[in-house]
Parts: sequence; C-alpha cells; structure tokens
Amino acid sequence: MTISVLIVEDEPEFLQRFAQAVLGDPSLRLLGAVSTGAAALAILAASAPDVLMVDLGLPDMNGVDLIREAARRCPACDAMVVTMFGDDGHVLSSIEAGATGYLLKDAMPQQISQCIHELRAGGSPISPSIARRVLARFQQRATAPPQAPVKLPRDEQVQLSERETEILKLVAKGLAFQQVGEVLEISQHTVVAHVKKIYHKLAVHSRGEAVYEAGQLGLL
Amino acid sequence: MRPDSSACCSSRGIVRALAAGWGPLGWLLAACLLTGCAADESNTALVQAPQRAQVLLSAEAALPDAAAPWQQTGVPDWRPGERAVWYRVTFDVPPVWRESWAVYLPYLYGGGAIVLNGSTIEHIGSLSSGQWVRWERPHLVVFPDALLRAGGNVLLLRAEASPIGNSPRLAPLLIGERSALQRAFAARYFAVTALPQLTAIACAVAAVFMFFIYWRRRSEVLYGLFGLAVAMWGVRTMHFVIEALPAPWWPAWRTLYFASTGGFIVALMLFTMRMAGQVHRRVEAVVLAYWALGPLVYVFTRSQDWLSRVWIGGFVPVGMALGAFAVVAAWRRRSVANIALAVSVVIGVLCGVHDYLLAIGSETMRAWLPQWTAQRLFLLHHGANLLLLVMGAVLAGRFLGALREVELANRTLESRVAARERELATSYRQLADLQRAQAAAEERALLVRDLHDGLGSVLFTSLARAERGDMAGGDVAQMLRECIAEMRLVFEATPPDERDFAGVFGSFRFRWQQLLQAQGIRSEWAIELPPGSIEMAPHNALQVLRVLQEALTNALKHARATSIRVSIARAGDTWCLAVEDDGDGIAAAGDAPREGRGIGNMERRAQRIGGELSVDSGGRGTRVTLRIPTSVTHHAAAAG
Repeated sequence: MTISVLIVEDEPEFLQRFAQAVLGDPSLRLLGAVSTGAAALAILAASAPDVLMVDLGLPDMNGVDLIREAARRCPACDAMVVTMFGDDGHVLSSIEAGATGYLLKDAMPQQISQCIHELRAGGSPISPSIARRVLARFQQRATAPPQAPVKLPRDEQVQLSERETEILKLVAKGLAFQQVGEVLEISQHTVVAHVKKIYHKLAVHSRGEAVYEAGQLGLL
Repeated sequence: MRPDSSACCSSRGIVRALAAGWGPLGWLLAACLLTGCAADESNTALVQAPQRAQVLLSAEAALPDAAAPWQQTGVPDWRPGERAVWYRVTFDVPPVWRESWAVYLPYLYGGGAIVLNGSTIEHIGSLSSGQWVRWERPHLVVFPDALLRAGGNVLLLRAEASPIGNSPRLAPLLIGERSALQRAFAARYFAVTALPQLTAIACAVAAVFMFFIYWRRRSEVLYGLFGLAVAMWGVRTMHFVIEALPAPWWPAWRTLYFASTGGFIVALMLFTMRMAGQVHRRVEAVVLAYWALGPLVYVFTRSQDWLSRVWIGGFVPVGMALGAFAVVAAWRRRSVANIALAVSVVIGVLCGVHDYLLAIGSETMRAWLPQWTAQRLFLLHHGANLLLLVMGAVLAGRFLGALREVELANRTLESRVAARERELATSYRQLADLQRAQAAAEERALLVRDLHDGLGSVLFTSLARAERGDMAGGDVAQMLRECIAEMRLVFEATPPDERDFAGVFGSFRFRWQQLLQAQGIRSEWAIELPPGSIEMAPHNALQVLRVLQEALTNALKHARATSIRVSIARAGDTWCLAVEDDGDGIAAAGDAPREGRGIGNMERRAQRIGGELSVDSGGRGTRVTLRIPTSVTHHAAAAG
C-alpha cells in the first residue's frame, strides 16, 4: 500500500526537490505539491493524505495553522514540518499544533523518503534541542499553580510517563535512538514510537492548555 | 443711718487694708472695688480699722475689767516674750445697722479668745490646751446682734503666745459689717490656707511623677532634682495646712520644716546649675552639708531662733548667688527657657529674702513698711509656685524638644537610608545595564569574528576557487554543506535557553553521530558530562565545538578513518576533550601538511579559551586532545 504525500512548499527549488524524492520512491504517492496554504486546504478538503509536508513560511498563511487545520480535518494524517536547522522554536509550535515529525531542509532525497516511511511506521524523529524544549514544556506545566477554574477532562491532563521522560533526557544528551534503546533495553523502533506518543501528548497538552487559558480569559 | 462721709472713709479703709495685704494684686483688686464703689455708693458698707488699742500684760484667763492696768498701744502690736496678753479695742456702731457686724483678724498665731462687751464670742485653741498650734488662717468672727450696742462697744482680745516668735501679737484688725469684711477674709483665707492645700496636693502628684521618671531613667538627673524640689516644697507647705499638732510631735514636725525649707533651696540650686550645664561637685557637697547642718542642730539644741535667723539666713547668699548664676546663664544662652528660669529664680529669691526678713521680724522692715509687715503675707508661696511651674514647663519643653529631635533624627535617617537605597539601586541598575551592554558587545564581537573565521573564510576561499573555474558542482555542494554545517554549529553552540555545555554538546553529538553513521564510520562516544558540570559562555562553547568539529572533519575527510572515538572526561582541574581516529596519521599523509588540516587554527582557538591543544599522530591514527582548565569554564566570560 502506497503512502500518499501532500507537499506544501513555497520555494520552487525545494518543492521540486521534495516532489522528486517522493516520486523517486515507488512506495510513495504524490498527492499534490502546492506552494500556498489555500491550495493545500483545497486539497485537504477533497482528500486525506497520509503525510503532509509543510514549510512554515508560506506566503498566505502560517504553516503552523495549516498543520492545526490538517490535524483537525484528518487525524490519521501525519504532518511533517520542514525546518532549516531542526532546532528552531517553530518545530515545537508545529508539534503542539499536531505535527509528528520534522524534516531538515537539506536532507538528501533518500533521507526524505526514509523519514516519511519511519513516520508512517509509527516513529518520529527528535533532536536534542527539541527534546529539551518538550521536557521544559511539560515541566513548566507541572510546576504551574494548580488553580485551573476550568476542570480539564482527565485525558487532557496529560503527563509524561517515566519512560518517556527518560527517553527525552537521553536524547537531549545527544544519544542516537539506537543508543537510547540500548540504555533502556528496548528496541530503536520502540524509542521512536515513544517519541511519536510524546508528540501526541504535547499536542493534547497544548490543546488542554489552550482550553485552560481560554477558561482563564473567560472565553469558555 | 450713716453719714455719707463715713461711707467714703470706710471704703478707703477697705482699699487700704486690701492694698496693704496684697501688694500689686491688691491694688488691682482695690481698683476694681473702687470702680464698684463709684457705681454703687449707696451699698458701701461700714468698715473700721482701729489704729489704737489698749494692752494688758496678764496671763490671767479671767476677763479683765476697765480698772485693770491697761496701757495705750498701737495696732499692730508686738509683744514678744509674753505668755498671753489682753487687748482692748473700742469702736462705734451707728444707731441702725443693716446686717451683722464682725471682726476680721488676719491672723492670731497663738490662738486665744474674743470677747464683745463682756461676753466671750470665740475661743481659738492655744498652746495651753495641750497642743502645739500655729494658726495661719485668718479669723472672721461675727458679733451676735444682741451683744452689739449702738454707740461705743468694747472688744477684748486674748492673744496667746505662738510657738514661733517674731510676729505681732495683735494683727491689724478690721471691724464692720460682715459682708464688707468677707472679701478681705476670703482673699486671705485663699492665700494662706486654700492655696497651700492645693500646692501640697499638686506637689505630691508632681513629685511622684518626677521620681518615677527619674527611677526609670537615672540619667535624667534634672527630673530627679525637680522631683526633690517639688517634694520639699510640698512638705514645707504642709506646715501651713496642718496648724495644730499633739505636743510630742512638734519637734519632729519642726525638724521636717527646716529640712524641707533648706532642701527646697538646695534642690533648686542643683537644678538651676545642672540646667545651665554646670556640675561643681565641691560646691554641691558644701551646700548639701550646710543643708544637713540645720536639722541636726535643731535636733540637738531645739534652738528655733538660731535656725530661723542664722541657718536659714545662710541660704540668703546662696539664693542670691543662685539668682546671679541664673541671670548670667540666661545672658550667655538667651533662650526663652533660660530667661524664664532666671526671672523666676530672681523673683523666688526676692520672695525668699522678703519672707526671711518677715519671719525674723526685721526692725528695718517694720520701720520702712509698717503696714505691710503687719499683714504678714509670705510671698514665697507664690514665688516658689511660680518657680516650680517654670521649672516644670522648662522640663516639659526639654522633653518635647528631645522628642522632636528624635523624630527629626528618625526622619533624617529614614530619608538618608531611602536616598542611599535609591542611589544603590540606580548604580546597580547602571552597573547591570553596563555589564549587559558590555557582555552583549563582547559576545557580538566574538561571534562576528567567528563568522569571519568560519563561514567567511570558507565562502571567500570557495568564491576564489569557483571564479578560477577550479570548482566542480560536487565541490560547490560540498562547500555549501560545510557552510551549513558551520551555521548549524553556531546555532548549536548558542541556544537561547541553554548555558549548560552538556546540552550544547548533545546537539553536536546528535548531528555528528548521524553524519558519521551515514558515512559508514563507527563512532564511540565516551562522555562523562553530568548535566550542569560545565557552564560556558556561548562563544567559548563555540570554540570548543569548532575544535571538535575540525578534528572530526579531519578524521572524515583526510584520514579516511573507519572508526572514531570522541571522549570528554575530567582530570583534576582540567576538562579533557579528545577525538581519536584509526585513519592515516598526519605523518603518513605526506601531501597534507599540518596547516592543511587546520591544526594551527585549532591551536589558536584553544588558546583563546585558555586551553591547550595537543595532536598525537603517528603513521596510523590521530588523537587530538583539547584541555581546558575548569576555572575557565566556570568563569563564563573568558577573554577572547
């Protein structure tokens, strides 16, 4: 079964580069390669891609909003944000909006398709700096004063499990997934699966936070 | 019916009597009375002030008759030495009188009896009745209408001896309608009886209060001395309140009188001197000894006369000196308090001298002021009260002044502290701003230099090569990847949220691990870097990472290594960062000199952060070691 991919990238060079990478892999199907958010939304309205590849600097809208919209419309879709260095704050915002992976802009075509496959197979990439930020986000929530006037539903009061925290700490030290797996005596595949779960938690978490903040502002 | 002339004469009599009795105050009163008289002449009562009397030197208690050996005498009459004497005064009463008549006696110190037309109308207790008396009070004895006759009347007065001599036996008495005498009686009664009562009570209260203050604050000697003065004055004044005593108590009472009189003067003197800031121990000791002398002499000799004349007289120069001292002190430091104190001390001393002369029955005084002397009004009651009031006011003023000073000092201190705090806060802020600005400038300068050295040099070299046509497409891509790696390195080394080298190194390791893996090179990472163990300024971290990156790049590009080991370990005061590979050593690669591998560059970077670089390379394998002292890493702002 092929994986359908929608690419949203405003720079033609990279749009073409990413499209070539997808087209070069027979197990991938290019659903569309567009350069605006509006076009992406139009395609999303008609069909649901398996993987959405988004550059954040779109001319007509913020890529983060597009990711959020995509996550809302097709929860089964894996959104992947394109980043130049992998450590900018936008990656974290994208994950909070629902992205489960990221792709370095200078990745080789083979790496691109590999990344898509891994993502579909249930594993998410993570860099030490993202791991640090994710940890910080959860810790910040944990230490915030527990005075929410709006009671969050139980499933939205998410916390990282001990195992997840351990994984993030090891990644933050710069250990590769394989080494993380060795330290924790689990497979590399399980490690990346954990990372994806962590991303989901962060998204849910930030949704809960948005609800919490809306409650604070009297919007709910 | 009384003639008009008599009325005029009578009102003059009152005026004279009052003026004689009250001095300036009396004149004021008299003036009021005169205006009253002018306004209401018809109501003026009859008052007679007999100037002549007869005296009978007889201690007999029986009423003497007209045939007894009476002698002519004047009013007042001095009879020192006699036990008891009789006086005979005649006066005329008009045929019709509107109200009761009475006799007003300013004093009858030894007690006795008053007899009108042969009938005793008043008995006043005397020494002979088993008690010691000293009646300070005036007497107003109303004549029973039945005994009074129109025309001539005879008033007999038995005057007993007083235990304290030197006073007229017969006071300047007044006879007339009761209402006309009432005012003079009331005025004197207030002056010699009510006022001392009030004074005694006020002194007791003030003394307790002052002693309490002194008890709690021993350094406030002035309060203690003031308390002593008030207490002494109160005790002394009690002698004018308690006029009759059982005979056995008299000597002790009298001793107390002398002690308190002297004590008052001594306390006053010490107070005035200390107030002026003068402490003369010797003078004080002499005066205190003199004070103690009086009561002691009295206890042993019972010589009242000696004490009253000589010992109390000895205080007159003391008082004079005190007055002079107070005046000089006030002259030197002219403050309201000092001037008021000086004036009241002088008034007090004058009153004291006056009373002294009055008490010893000074012949001179009698000759100069016969009427005034006969009234026997002791002025020290008023003078001392004034003095004590002024002293109290001065102390209160000092107390308020001290409070004000404390408040002022507190305010000054508070404002100074606040101002200092503001200054400190400002300078801290300025300092912090300055440091921030300096740190930012330094950081910027270092990063710019780094961009220059790193990205800049690669780009310029590549540009030169490309323009020379010496660069194939693959080379350009390789060059650009190097540039991107360079940028990544900068981003890794300068994360906005991290100063811990462990975190910075994590990103570096993560990237290089992937890179090496993609190249099929085995890598081993032996990192002993607990979180928080190295805190480093971003530019220093960048230098370290650059050295490591250079070493790794060399291993990758030039040495053709198959396995790389990266290690970080602490050895004593040094952090040891090493990159080892199993590729061609520098010596083996004949075509690649040291500089070609950027070793000089690495050494310079190591020096910049106070570290040192060593390269061990033989034919096979290379080990690049960077040693940084821990002190450099702890002090983040190492000099570039």
